[in-house]
Amino acid sequence: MRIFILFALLGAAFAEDAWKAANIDRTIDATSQIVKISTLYAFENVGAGPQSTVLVALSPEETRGLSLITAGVEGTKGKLKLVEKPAENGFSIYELDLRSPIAKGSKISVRVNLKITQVLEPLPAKIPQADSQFVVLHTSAYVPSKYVADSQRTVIRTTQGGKLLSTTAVNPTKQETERVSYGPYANIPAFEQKPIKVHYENNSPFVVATIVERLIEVSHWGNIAVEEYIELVHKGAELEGTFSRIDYQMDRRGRRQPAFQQFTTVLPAQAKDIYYRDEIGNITTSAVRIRADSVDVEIRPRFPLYGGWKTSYVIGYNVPSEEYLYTKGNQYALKTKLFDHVFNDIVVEKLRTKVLLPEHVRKVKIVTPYAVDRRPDELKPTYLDTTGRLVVVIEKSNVVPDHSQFFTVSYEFTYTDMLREPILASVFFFVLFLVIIVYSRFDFTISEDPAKDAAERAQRCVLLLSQDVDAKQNAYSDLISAAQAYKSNKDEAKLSSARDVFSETRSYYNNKLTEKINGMKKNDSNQNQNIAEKSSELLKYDKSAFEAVESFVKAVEKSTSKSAGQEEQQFASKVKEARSRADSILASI
Amino acid sequence: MDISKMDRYAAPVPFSSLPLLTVVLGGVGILLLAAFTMIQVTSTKYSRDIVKELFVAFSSSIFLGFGSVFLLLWVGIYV
Repeated sequence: MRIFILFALLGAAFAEDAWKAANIDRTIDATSQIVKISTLYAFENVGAGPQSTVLVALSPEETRGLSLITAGVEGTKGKLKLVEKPAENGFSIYELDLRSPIAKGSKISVRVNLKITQVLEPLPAKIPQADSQFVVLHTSAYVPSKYVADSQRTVIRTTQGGKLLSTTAVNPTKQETERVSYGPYANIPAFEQKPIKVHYENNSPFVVATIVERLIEVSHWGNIAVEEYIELVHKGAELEGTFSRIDYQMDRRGRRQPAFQQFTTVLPAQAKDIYYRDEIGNITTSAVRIRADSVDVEIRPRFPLYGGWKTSYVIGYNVPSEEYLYTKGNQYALKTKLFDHVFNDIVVEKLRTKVLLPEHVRKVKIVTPYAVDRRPDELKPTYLDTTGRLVVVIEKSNVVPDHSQFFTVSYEFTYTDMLREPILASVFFFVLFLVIIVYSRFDFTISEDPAKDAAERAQRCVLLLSQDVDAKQNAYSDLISAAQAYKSNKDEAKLSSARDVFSETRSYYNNKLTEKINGMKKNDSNQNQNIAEKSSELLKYDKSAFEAVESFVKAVEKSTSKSAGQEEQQFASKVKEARSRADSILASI
Repeated sequence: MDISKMDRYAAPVPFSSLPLLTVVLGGVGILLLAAFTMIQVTSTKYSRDIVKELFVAFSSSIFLGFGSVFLLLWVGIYV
């Protein structure tokens, strides 16, 4: 087995490469805390036939802090597919899929971009407040390559206007302002390294977010709430000695101090209800600027961040759902950013994006633009929930601003499930009402109070009787008004029909009243007997009222004049009297 | 399903009509609640009417339920 591996390694070492690098042009941008390496390879196919894949190598230092690697054919848009292959000689190998085969003897230019974090070493590691920050960049004068390179050169960009303390010389080396160039070197074999150090001034704050927790809460009532919890640590040269606010205010370097003073967070254009706070509460030193295609929040933390200092805060806002949420039938898709802008050149050690979906979603699927770690789903009960909402948790470590890309969460949801929330609230109120209804039916009296009891009973009787009496009196007045109408239009049919209706309702209510009164008479309590006797008078007065009305109607039929005669008025007053008598009887009970 | 074939999802109840809905629904709910209270206070052991009470309680709780959800949405608690 070992011999086989040995042979395999030997074979690999002596195998003729299918490619060679005709020219490599590398630019290392080390102006911020992120080292951005952009390498332009001109590969030439020297193999036996057409090739459709090519390999690129990354040095161990590059691999250590690698956050993002992208590749593309120079001069065209679109990215090439990258597949990581087993390491060789300590170098990471990535295979690029060129999409179309390259014929033997042809060349292709490929640009590979690397974003490398936390590799710049502050030297000195501790500085007083007034000093500038210097860092060391460790890299190789030769571009790491899987293939022999005919010619190559490297340019390292350092801070504008900053000092360049020292550089390792690998001739030809040229040290200019703001940049150091190495090369061109001819015929460098594969995997050849020449370690170099560049020690230069870099005052850009080395602020790293140890965690960014991004919570996206989807509400089908039309809102998407985004909240980010961010912990920042300045990982540059640590502050030595004391901090003086006066020195800080009077520092003539201004913004070019190695301290992190303020930054701008770019939010989506539709963002509203923005808040920025920490454990203490709202941080007032922030301003919102509305731009044409974004909302910029200018944030100034409570204190400037010096080396080794940390702070944490929460920023949140609302976005209308039409911005990010799509639907078709019961299918929904949320397309939003997995990571959003915090400040330029931020490095995030751990990004945790949580998506809170509405209750009762089904078939959740996630499509991300790059590989992420999907953690087990969680349940979070919030307002008006029964079982809790599904939380999709996504994690990713070592994130740079280039990771600010869209991802999609698709799920199924039934529209009517939205009604659960108001119905839940209604049920809550109804239960309260039920408690009152049941409670009021309990009797908590210790000793019986017959007088009060009887009074309540009597009140009930009066209520029942008065309903009937009122109804009957309405019938009387209906008839009278019908009679008055007859006076003007002489429509006999109408009058007779009104009469029929009247006599019907009258007898109906009279029967009802008698029934009720008889019911009371049967009751053995004294009180009830009294009530019954008094109420039977109601029927007596009814008779006189009835006669009065009858004769009134007759008088109306006879009379030819339109105005009310004296007789008629007499009758009308009689009816009124009957009514007031009935009322007084009820009141006496 | 492809996202490009989907429509943008707009709020089922426009945010601008939330205050009106809250005031109207909540107001009616509170009026019915007052009616329920009146029934409870004025009725005696012999004059209770369970059907009437349940009807008022039910309609009041529906109005209050919807009204309070719209109130939550209005004040920015997106349930």
